[in-house]
Amino acid sequence: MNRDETQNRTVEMAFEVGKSKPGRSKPVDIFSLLFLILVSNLLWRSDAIGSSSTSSSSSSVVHTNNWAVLVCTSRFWFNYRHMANTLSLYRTVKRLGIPDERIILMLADDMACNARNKYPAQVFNNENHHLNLYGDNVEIQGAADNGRHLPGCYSFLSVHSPGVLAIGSSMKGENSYSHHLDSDVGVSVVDRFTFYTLAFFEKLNMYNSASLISLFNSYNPSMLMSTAYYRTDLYQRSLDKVPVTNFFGSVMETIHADSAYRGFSVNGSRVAQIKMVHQADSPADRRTLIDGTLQDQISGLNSKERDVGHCPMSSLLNKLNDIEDVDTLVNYGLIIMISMVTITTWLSR
Amino acid sequence: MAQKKLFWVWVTASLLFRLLLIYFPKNLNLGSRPEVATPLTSLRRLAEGYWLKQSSMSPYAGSMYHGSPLLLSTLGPLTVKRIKGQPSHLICSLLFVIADFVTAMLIRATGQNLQLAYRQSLKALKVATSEILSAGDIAALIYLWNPLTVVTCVGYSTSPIENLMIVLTLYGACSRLAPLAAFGWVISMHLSLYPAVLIIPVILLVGYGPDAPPRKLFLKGNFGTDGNDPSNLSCYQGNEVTTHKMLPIRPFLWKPVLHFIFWAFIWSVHVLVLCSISLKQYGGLWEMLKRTHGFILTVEDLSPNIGVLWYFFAEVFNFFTGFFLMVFHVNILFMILPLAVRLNHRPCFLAFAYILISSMLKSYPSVGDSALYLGLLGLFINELADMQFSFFLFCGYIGVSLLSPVMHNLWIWRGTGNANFYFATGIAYACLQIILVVESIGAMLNHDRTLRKKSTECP
Repeated sequence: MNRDETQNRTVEMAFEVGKSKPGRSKPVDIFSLLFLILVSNLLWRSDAIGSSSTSSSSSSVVHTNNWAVLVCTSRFWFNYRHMANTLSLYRTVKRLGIPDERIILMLADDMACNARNKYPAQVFNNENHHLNLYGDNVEIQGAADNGRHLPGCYSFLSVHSPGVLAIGSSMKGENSYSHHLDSDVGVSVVDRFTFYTLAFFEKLNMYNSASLISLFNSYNPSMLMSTAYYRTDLYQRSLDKVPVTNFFGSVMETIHADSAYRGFSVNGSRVAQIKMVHQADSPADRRTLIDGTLQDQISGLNSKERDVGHCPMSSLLNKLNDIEDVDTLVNYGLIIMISMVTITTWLSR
Repeated sequence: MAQKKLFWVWVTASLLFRLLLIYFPKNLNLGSRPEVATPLTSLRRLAEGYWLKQSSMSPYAGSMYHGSPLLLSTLGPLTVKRIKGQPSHLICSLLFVIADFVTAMLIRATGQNLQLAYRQSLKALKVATSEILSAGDIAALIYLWNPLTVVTCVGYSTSPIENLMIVLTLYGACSRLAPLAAFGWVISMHLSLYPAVLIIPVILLVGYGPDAPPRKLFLKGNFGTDGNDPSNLSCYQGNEVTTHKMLPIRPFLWKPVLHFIFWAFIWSVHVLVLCSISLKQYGGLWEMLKRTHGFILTVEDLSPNIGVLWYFFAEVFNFFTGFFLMVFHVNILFMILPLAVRLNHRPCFLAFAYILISSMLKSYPSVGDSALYLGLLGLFINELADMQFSFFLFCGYIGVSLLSPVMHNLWIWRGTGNANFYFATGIAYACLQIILVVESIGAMLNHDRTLRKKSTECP
C-alpha cells in the first residue's frame, strides 16, 4: 500500500513537472553519444602503421571494422532517459551489424536494477513498453565507477582533427528536451532527439544505403524543439554520398585461408609478434602475422631517420645501434656502476 | 652483550616472519591493495612493462609502467622466473627481504654515528649524560617490525628498494662517504622524484657532520677543557663571557661537499646514459622523463590511494588542474627553506622532516613511505622523548591502518559505501602525519632549549 502511495505521489510530481517544463537534458551527454560513435568510427579505421584519415575508395565494403563507443554520463534515477537513449542506440548499432566485441558501452548508473525501478531488469524507451532495452541480446560485463568525472572534452566545438563528423542535438544556448513521460515508470523515458533518430533507424537494416544527409534532413526543428546541428568542416566527403551504415553498422567479411593458424612462439631473442597491419590496397581487412625481423627493420629505419645529424651523442648511439642486445649492455653498465661505488667508497674511508 | 644478542634475535625473527608471510599458503593479495602498491611501485606493473619491452614495444606503452628502465632491467627478468611449487615472484620477494635487512643495518650504523656525535657534543658542553638509549638498534628494530614495512616488503611493491637508496644516502652523508651518498641520492631521485629535496640535508651533513646542538651553545664557551679555576669563569647567562679557550666550532668543510657534487654528477651522467641506451628505440630520454617524472608531477592516474590528491583532482575542472598541481607541489617546496634555516644544525633530523612532508604531499603515497620515516623517527628517540601526543599518534596510525582497507572494501567491493568513506581515512592519515611532523619538530627544538638551559647552568 505504502509503495503505491509514494509511487502515485512521485508520478503526480513528475507529471506536474512534465506538464510545466519538459525535462531538459544536458546537451553534453547527447553530444557525447553521437560524437563518439562518429569519431570512433574514423579512429579505428585508420592505418596501423602511420597515415591516418584514409579514405577508402570502394564504398560497399568500407564499413567492415567499425567500432562504437557509447557513453552515458548522467547518473541517478531521474536521468533514466539518458540511459534509455544510450541503450537504444546500442540496440540500433547491434542491429545494424556491429558485434559486441567492437562496442564499448559505458553507463554511469544502473537503471535496470535500481531500487526505484518498478520493472526490475527492464529498461524501456517508450511508454508502450514494447521494447525491453535490457533484453536477451544485451551483453553487460560489469560496471566500474571509481568516482571519476569524465573530462569535459566531449564538447565538439573543440575538435580539430580531420576526418570527424560531429552532430549535436541542440545549438549552443538551447536545451534538449525529453520526448514523453512514462507515467508507469515515473520518469521521462526518451529524449526527442533520440526518439526521432531511432524512428529513422528503425526503418533501416544493415544493407540499406540511406545517406547521412537523409538522417540530418529527418530532424524537424519544430518537433525536436531545438535545432539539431551538425558540423562538417572537418569531414571531407559529401554527406549525400556517405551511407549511415558506414558509421552505425558493420558487415563482417569472412576470408578463407588455406594455411594453418600459427600462434607466436618465444625462442631465444626472436619473438614473433601478432601485428595488425591494414594494407591500404587490399579490399578486405586482414590480420597478418609478421615476425620480429620485419619489426626490427621498421623500427631501426625509423630510429636511424630520427637520429641522423643532431649531435655527437646520436652518432655514438648509432654505433651502439649495431649492438643488438641492449639488455646485456645495460646490465653491464649497472654492474660497472655498483662496483665503482664500492671501490670509491672503500678508498675514501 | 646480552642486549646485542637480543637485538640479533629480534632481527632474525623479523626476517623469518617475512619469509613466513611470503610462503603463506593462502593468497594474501597485498599487491592489489591501493595502500601498498601504487602506479609507481607496483611489481605487477613492472612485470607488465618488462613483457612489453620483451615484445619490442615501449615499456611505457599503455600507461602501465611508470618506473625507471634500470629497475626494469634488474627486476624484470626476476619477475618472469617461475619455480615450480613456489609462490609467484619468489625471487623478487627475497630480494626485497634482503633490501629490508640492509636498510635496517644502515639505519643502525647511522644511529651509532649520530649517537657518537651526540655523546661527544654533550661532553663538550659538560652536560650530564643521563640514560641514553641505543638509538640505532631501536630504530632498526622499529623499521623491521613495523607492520607497514612488513606489508610493503611482502606486498610486491618496489618501495623497499627506494627506501634502501634513501637510507644509503643518509648513511653515506653521516659517515662523510661522498661517493656513496652521491650514488644513493642520484638513484633515489631517479626512482622517485621527491628525494631530490634531500640534497640540502645531505650537503649540510657532509659539510658540518652529524647532528649536534646549536652552534651558538659552543660559542658560549664558559667551559675550558683544561680545568681552570671555577671562580674565574663567569656563570652569567651569556652577556659576559670570559673564556680562556674557545672551543672549536664545527666549521663548514667545502672539500667533502665538492666531492659530493662531483660524484653526483658522475653517477647522474652514468644513469642517464644507461637509460638512453635502454630506451633508444622507444623515444629516448625525453620519453622516459615524460613518463616517469612527468607522470609523478602531472598526477595523471587518479586511482584511489592513501593520499589526498586523487580525490581533489577528480573534481577539479580541466582549466584549473595546472594551477592546483603547482599549488600542491610548491607546498612541499615552500617548507624546505624555513626548515633548513631553523634546523641546519641537525641535518639528519631535517632529512627526516623532509621525508615526512614529501610522503604526505606526494602524488602517489603508500605505506612504504611511512615505513621509512617511522623507522627514521626511532633514530631521534633520545631527543624526542618528551614528544606530546605520542600515544594519540600511535593509536591513530593503528586505527587508520585498520579502517582504510575496511572502507576500501565497503566502497569498491560491497558498494554500500562511496569514495568519501575511503577519503575520510586518507584525510585522517594526512592529519596524523601533520601532527607528527609538527610535534616532532617542536620536541626537537624544545630539547635544544633544554640543552641550552643545562649548558649555561652553573655547575
